[in-house]
Amino acid sequence: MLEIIAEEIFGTPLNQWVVGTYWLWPLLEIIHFIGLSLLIGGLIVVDLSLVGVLRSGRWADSHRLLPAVVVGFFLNLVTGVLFFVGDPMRYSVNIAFQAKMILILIAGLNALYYHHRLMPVLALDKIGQSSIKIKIVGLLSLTTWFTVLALGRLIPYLGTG
Amino acid sequence: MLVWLESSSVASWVSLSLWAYPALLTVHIFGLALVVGLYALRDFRLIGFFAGTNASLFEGTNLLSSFGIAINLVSGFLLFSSQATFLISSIPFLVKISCVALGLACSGVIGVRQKNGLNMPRYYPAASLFFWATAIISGRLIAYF
Repeated sequence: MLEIIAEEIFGTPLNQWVVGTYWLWPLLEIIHFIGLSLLIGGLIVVDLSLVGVLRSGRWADSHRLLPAVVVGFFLNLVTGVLFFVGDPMRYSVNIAFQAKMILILIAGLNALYYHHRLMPVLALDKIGQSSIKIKIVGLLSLTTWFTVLALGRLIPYLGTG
Repeated sequence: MLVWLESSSVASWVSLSLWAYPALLTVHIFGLALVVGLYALRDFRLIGFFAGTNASLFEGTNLLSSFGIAINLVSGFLLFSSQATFLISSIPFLVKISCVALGLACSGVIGVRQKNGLNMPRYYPAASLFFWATAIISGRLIAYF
């Protein structure tokens, strides 16, 4: 399915622009790295607070870092889409890329579950901060994002392309 | 000396082994996320973002950042060894190393001031952010120059 999308994108004006503008790719990489620093830096603090390793008082304290995480995510979403648009044929068949996208989806679902199911209940003190569900959410978040990081790094080295 | 380093058995292993280089790059980006990620957010907070958060929020993270520094020193040296003669004359690489050193120095100053309860003029975290951002930028540009 990805290959069909890739074929549609190949040759479009946006694709041509990314391919043809020599300074764009390094700029996208730079922004992508800055985005991942914000995303993962923030999530390390938030997730380790959820897991219970970092004890900085009120659990809500670490959550104030979440805007930075979201900014990082959106920077990477935009630059990531432009990477794909710039070289769709390579990415669509790359196994590391495919796995990376699946894990990002899992991380997103995990975050949604936490935000809509656990956080409201936590705020009302209906479950304790040491609830096992909260620890699992934090641990899953950390492991998926670090695996995403590794897979992104390995795109040029795994599978075709 | 660099030619000797590049032809050493360790450096040869890094450049010839199918998996060594990508594995080292992966370790290196884990370290980057630990160091730059945590320091950047700490610095943003010291500049004035994330109002209302406790100073102790980043207290337990120093061990993680130190671990990140350690694995990046090791992986960085191994990566360097396999391309020593090229990197030593690469301007982006030299800028990156300088900025890493300066960024670490800033962290040292920030740490000391926090420990002794001294005030934190904004230029320390601002400088730290600048150096780490420049380290990332020049790191990415190594492949292009």
